[in-house]
Amino acid sequence: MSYVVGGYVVTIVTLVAYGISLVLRDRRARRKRSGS
Amino acid sequence: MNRAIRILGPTSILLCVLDVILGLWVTPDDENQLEYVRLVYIHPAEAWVALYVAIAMAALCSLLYLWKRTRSLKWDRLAASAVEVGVVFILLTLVTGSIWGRATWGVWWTWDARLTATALLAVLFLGYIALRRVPADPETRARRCAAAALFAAVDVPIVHFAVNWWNTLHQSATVLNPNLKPRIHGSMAWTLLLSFIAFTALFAWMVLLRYRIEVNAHSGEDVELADALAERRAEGVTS
Repeated sequence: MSYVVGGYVVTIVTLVAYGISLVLRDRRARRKRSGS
Repeated sequence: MNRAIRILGPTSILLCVLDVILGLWVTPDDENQLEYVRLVYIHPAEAWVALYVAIAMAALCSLLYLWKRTRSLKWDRLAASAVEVGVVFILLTLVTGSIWGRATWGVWWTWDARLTATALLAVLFLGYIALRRVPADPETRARRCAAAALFAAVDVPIVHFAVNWWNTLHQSATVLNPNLKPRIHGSMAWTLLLSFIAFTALFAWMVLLRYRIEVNAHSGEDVELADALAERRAEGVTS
């Protein structure tokens, strides 16, 4: 079962981390645009 | 686009959570693969997104950029967004596939035709991203990257048909097999279908978000370029 849990954990952690990074980059880009 | 991002974000997250719940706690174990079959609710969907959706989108946008009648930098930016998100999914495909391989074959990696072709595509995706970082004017960069995306797309049929062309360790298609007779049924089949929908929706949300970042980041540059051009024109008038 540890292999299955490992597969799910890797997927969830990666997608959540990448999703958060996209949201933060989007916020920064929009703030920069409205400021320019 | 903003509305699509607002709708797709929560919807795709909800579908992914549902997929994890069904995959880990609701669906039964398989007769042959035992509990390792639960990886089928993440790994093939990740491969679907990376090897088909992302590369198809990147190749189509690249073609639209290269075709003079539809040439626009928006196609280049969309292709770049698809490739960047595609890299995340292809790396996940390789890692979850490796975990599944260790559990069922006893090895983390083997130079199987499908695995090797998939790893090659990951390298080509990374090459595309590296190429975007090479300093060049936007048009030159877009042209180079479009060619690179089309070159990478050639690897997709090799990945897809590898299990038919060569005697590979990787199992053949469960759903899209040559007879079109799915070898998965009941709650397992529905959860597998849900995983494909959930990951495709998540990919679409991430690509749109990535595209909006690209557009907002370059709008400032466009303003700077317009100012610089206006200054040059003004200089031309005074001299």
